[in-house]
Amino acid sequence: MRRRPKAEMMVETHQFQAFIRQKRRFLVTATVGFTGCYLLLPLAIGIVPQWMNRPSPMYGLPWGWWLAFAQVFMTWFFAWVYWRRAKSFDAIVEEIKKRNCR
Amino acid sequence: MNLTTFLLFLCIIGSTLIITHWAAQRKQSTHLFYIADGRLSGLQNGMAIAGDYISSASFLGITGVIALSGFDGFLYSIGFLVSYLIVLFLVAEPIRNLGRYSVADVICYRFPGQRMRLAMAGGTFLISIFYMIPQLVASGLLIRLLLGIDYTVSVLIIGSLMTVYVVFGGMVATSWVQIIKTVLLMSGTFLLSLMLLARFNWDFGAFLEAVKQGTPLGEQFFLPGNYFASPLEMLSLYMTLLCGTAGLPHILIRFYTVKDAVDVRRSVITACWIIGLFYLMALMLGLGTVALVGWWRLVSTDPTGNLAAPLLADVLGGDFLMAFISAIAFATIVAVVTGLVLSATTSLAYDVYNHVLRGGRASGREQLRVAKWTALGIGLISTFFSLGLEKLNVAILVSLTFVVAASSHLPTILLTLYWKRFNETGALVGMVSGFFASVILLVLGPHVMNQVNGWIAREPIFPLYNPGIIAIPVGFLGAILGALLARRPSDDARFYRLLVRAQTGVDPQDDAGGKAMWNS
Repeated sequence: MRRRPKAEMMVETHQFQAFIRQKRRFLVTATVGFTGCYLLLPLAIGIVPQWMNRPSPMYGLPWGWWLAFAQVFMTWFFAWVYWRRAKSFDAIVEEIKKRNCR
Repeated sequence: MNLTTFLLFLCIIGSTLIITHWAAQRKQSTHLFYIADGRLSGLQNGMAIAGDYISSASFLGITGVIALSGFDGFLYSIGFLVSYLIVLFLVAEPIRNLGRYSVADVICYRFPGQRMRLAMAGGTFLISIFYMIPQLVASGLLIRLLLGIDYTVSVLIIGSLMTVYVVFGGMVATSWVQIIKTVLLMSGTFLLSLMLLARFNWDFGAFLEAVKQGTPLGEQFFLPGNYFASPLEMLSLYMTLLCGTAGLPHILIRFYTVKDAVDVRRSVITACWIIGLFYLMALMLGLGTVALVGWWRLVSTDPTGNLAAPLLADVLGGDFLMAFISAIAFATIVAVVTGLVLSATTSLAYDVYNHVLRGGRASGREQLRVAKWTALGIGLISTFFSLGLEKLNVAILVSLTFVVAASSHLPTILLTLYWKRFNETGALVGMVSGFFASVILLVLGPHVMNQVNGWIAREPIFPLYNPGIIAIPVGFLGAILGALLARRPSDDARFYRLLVRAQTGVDPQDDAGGKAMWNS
């Protein structure tokens, strides 16, 4: 049976701290990124409506529509980014578990 | 109601009851009742999350708003989708790693004690009930509109079904009802979208031209400003939607139904894809209604626009397709309210009864018995409440649900998970301040204070229908100031335990080397 480690000892290891730093940087950057992209839509409609209402070359739909469609693809894109990055975090966590739970 | 509709309804009710019977045959335990033994796959849970989340307000409501207001209706739907990124990035995996059956488990891992447990259970219960009652009221009105059945009978049927699913089938039946609903909903909307485009010979330009002809708004249909009173209103709604989903307990408890964090990830990403595709198809259906049914016929049939999808189905495929879409709307309603009954039951039976009243010492058998009786009580009481609330303005309760989840639940969850100096006082102050800010601003806003049809006939003091832009910062600020002003020494050891477990899934020892007392 695996030994259960002490939290403080685990947190103090260089490996764990590096993992938390990396993960925090990723989460903050990504959250700021997708929140910014998301809020861009209502802000653009409120601040520069003349741009958003201008017809685009594609079916004459205003540009605002394409920005709105982009939000759907943005969501799928960030979900994919998370999936990819989480795999590398899983590998680090496995390493941490091996070291601390022997 | 014609024979086709009746038979399709019987098929849905029959198949879901068979699933409930199958779930009830399995060896019963609290683990099975609350979280389906954690045996769902990521894909199944993702479908169930989508089924739990896409309400009739999304299926019929969003399609209708798009048909009536054009671009603004589509803008409305986007917030519901993007909110899943907050869930995926910040909340889902830590919740799975820390909790057992309820969201309160997560907070009490860091701040154990009955006060915190009770506060979280109260918040969860209120959110679930605030959401369930408007769903039931709206379902009664919708079924009456769709099938001509009396409001009381409609509410009684849906109320009884949701109660039966939860009492006899627990999370297993709930999950499968939601999965079936997702399959039906996605296949129905996909079929309608294909038939719609085929009607225009796959010429998108001709389709858009027909849309322009079908609405009195003309070119303005494709521009913003037909639904949202101001850009500020839209921004406030966007903030509420973005933060609200990550505080909805009936969504969060679904993360316990899979075996590990990887499956949680898979669940949320699956849900993102399903919900995203669904809203793109809902857009097609909304535009298609304008193009083929026409704004005038839609408004003369139902001024709220809720019948857009069934009317479009009628034009495209006649009686059978309309009956099929009505049956899907019915499955949609039932699946959402069933998830809400289970979430409210968990907060009362598991958090309040087992942890607060019995100190976490109730036997498995006792817990299961109490859970089933609680589910029965919640189902009956909310059904009877809904019977008497036919004239209720349901929009205010739905707004309240999302705003309270975003401003009261989410700050507490996020700061508990990520802020080392956070403490119990901060958590309680955050929850209370977010809750009261939401309620007060809603009461002072145009939902209640309205010269045309408000409960208080006067100009609103707060101008926005959606108070998220103020209430969410108040919730966060309350939590942060509460934690800082409490001047309690921070319990670093407990935070480290939470950090290790939330981020790695490893359950570390407490100071005495024993098991961390997170669930007592």
